[in-house]
Amino acid sequence: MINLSSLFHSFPRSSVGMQIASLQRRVKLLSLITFYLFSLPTLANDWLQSAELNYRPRYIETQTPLTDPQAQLLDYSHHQAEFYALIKLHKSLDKLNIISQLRPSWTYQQQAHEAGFNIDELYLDYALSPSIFLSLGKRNLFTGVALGRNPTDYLAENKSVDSSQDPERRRDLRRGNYLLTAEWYLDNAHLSLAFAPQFNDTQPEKNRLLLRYNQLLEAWNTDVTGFVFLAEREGLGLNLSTTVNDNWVVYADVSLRRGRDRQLEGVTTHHHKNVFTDAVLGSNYSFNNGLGWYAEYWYQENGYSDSEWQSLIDLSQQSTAQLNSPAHGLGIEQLVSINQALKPLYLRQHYLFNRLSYAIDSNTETSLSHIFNLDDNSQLIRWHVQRNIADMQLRLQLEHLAGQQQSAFAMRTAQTTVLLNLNWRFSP
Amino acid sequence: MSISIDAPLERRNLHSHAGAWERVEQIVILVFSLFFYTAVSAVPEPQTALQAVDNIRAPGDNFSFTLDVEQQRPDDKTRHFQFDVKVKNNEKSLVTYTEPKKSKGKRILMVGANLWIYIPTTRMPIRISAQQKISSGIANADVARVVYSLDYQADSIKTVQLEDKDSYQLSLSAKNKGAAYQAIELWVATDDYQPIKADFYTKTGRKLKSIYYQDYQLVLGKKRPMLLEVHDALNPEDKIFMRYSELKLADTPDMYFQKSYLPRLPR
Repeated sequence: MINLSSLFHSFPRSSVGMQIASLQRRVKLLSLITFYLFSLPTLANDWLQSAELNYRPRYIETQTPLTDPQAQLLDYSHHQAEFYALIKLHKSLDKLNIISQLRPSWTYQQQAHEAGFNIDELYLDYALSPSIFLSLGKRNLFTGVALGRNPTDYLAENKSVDSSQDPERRRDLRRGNYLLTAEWYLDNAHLSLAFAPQFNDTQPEKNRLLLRYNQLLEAWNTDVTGFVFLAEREGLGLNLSTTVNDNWVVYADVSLRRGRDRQLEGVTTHHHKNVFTDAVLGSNYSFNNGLGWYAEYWYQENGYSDSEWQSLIDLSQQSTAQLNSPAHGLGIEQLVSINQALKPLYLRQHYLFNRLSYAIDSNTETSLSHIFNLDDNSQLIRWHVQRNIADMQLRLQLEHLAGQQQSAFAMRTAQTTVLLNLNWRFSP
Repeated sequence: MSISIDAPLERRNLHSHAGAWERVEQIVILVFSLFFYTAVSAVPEPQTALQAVDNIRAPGDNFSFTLDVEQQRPDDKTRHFQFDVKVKNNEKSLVTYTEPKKSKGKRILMVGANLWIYIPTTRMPIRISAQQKISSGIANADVARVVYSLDYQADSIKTVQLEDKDSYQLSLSAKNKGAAYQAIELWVATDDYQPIKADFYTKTGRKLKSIYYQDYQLVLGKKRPMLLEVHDALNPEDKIFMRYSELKLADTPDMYFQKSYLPRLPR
């Protein structure tokens, strides 16, 4: 980074020659900065699709979960803050498009700062014909029709997302895969193929291939998408969405996968199946007064069953008991492993998701979300209100996790979170 | 619709020896009956009238226009939207938000009764219902759809007086479950079928809004309403004005009306 203040420091007095050389360097640097400043609007006009700045401070009321009795393994910081920019670039050169999404960020947590620079996307997209496209590079592909969870979002299953973001936009804020894609648009249909090769540490997953076919059944007001996913855990998927009447849309996001991705070491399991179902059945109802209601049922057979969960709890308690014994190290090791396994937010098999949203006026909207774990009655409640003020958006969000000590949502350190999001958006 | 007329059907012998008054009476009745029959038969078939209304609203099968929507609230806060709308074969519409700045690039696609919204930040086209709102008082279908006959059938027509003028009152009902409204009462001028007013109803018979068709201008060979004033029954103090401009015949590529193609559309 260039330190601008150094440009205006007084000259060293050692010799005139050094002063002239230094002056030349500074003039050169200033000219360069001036050139970039003047060319920025052209760059913005040519490349910049949109840009936004976000500042997200949050206060977290924490608790000590069963899996970390000494409060040593997990994060208990009360104050966190994140600042990030989201820059979308698009350059069109006849049939070739260059597309990128950049996300520089800065986070503050437990008195430590961390800066990062995410290149979510950077790829070339080439039109072979008006209906056939090829792309190459890092790309964040979206699949699935549900709001809360998307079992058919195969290529993103190992990508982390910020669950405190709105469900509509959280998938936009994740890193893409290195992909080679081909797309063919037919009459009311779309066929696409995406290949994600294994790249040492950059893309460690084994080669993955996703074939997707989408068809609109106009007479039935229904969209159907079929997926074939060839990878270490193969999958077959189906998306359906249909308009029932002028207020009501229903949809399904269903996947059949070979094998499980849950950590089962030390956990007693009675599941000896090969194929596991992951399904979301949902609906979106619009009331005439503008109230919107999403309701979804999530079934993930891959999640921990009652017996597996109890076994995990028992293992956790055994490990805790070991902390005060000579096997202290083993106890810690096991608890670290258990906490690693409990990282996903949705650990169990049956959930209900409801969300009500309402526009209070033309610039203010609010929503209330509720995720209910049907296996252990634990729940997540999230409320938000946001207001647009010129190009700024101010958002306040409250989130609370509730449940008995051994329930899935009680395994998280954050109990209540108050989050503020200041957003400034710019588009040329 | 045909209306049967109970004209005197009995054949009478005009050459009988009945009195002159009787003949005069018969002639008068005949003349009035013929006049009445002609007047009634001039009421068109409801579907024909609806088609005539649609021909005024839509200049052809493939066209485009700019739509400015201004919503005036009682608190003096005015909200403004601008849309670029492309229509294909009359049944496919692509609506692109051009204003306000924060909504720029947002798109609504309507194919038959299927509707999707595409928001650049979510990047996935999401299926929505026709009744979902752009803003209170304006449903997606109000912007995306120009003609009525695709989603509604005209069940009946009658001649009524509207603001001291003769007009036809058409009763429309939804043809499919995805239509934005369950029923519409539409008033049109008797002489040229220019729409005057429309009331929109839910399944339960509750009135949602009224639209007044105004500012008729000669555009593409016909006088067409370029301003729609919307009275929202749910927020009666709001005033909404929908102004149409740059109405022109335009053939947009088929590809643009595909859900999966939405992310690829030019900025």
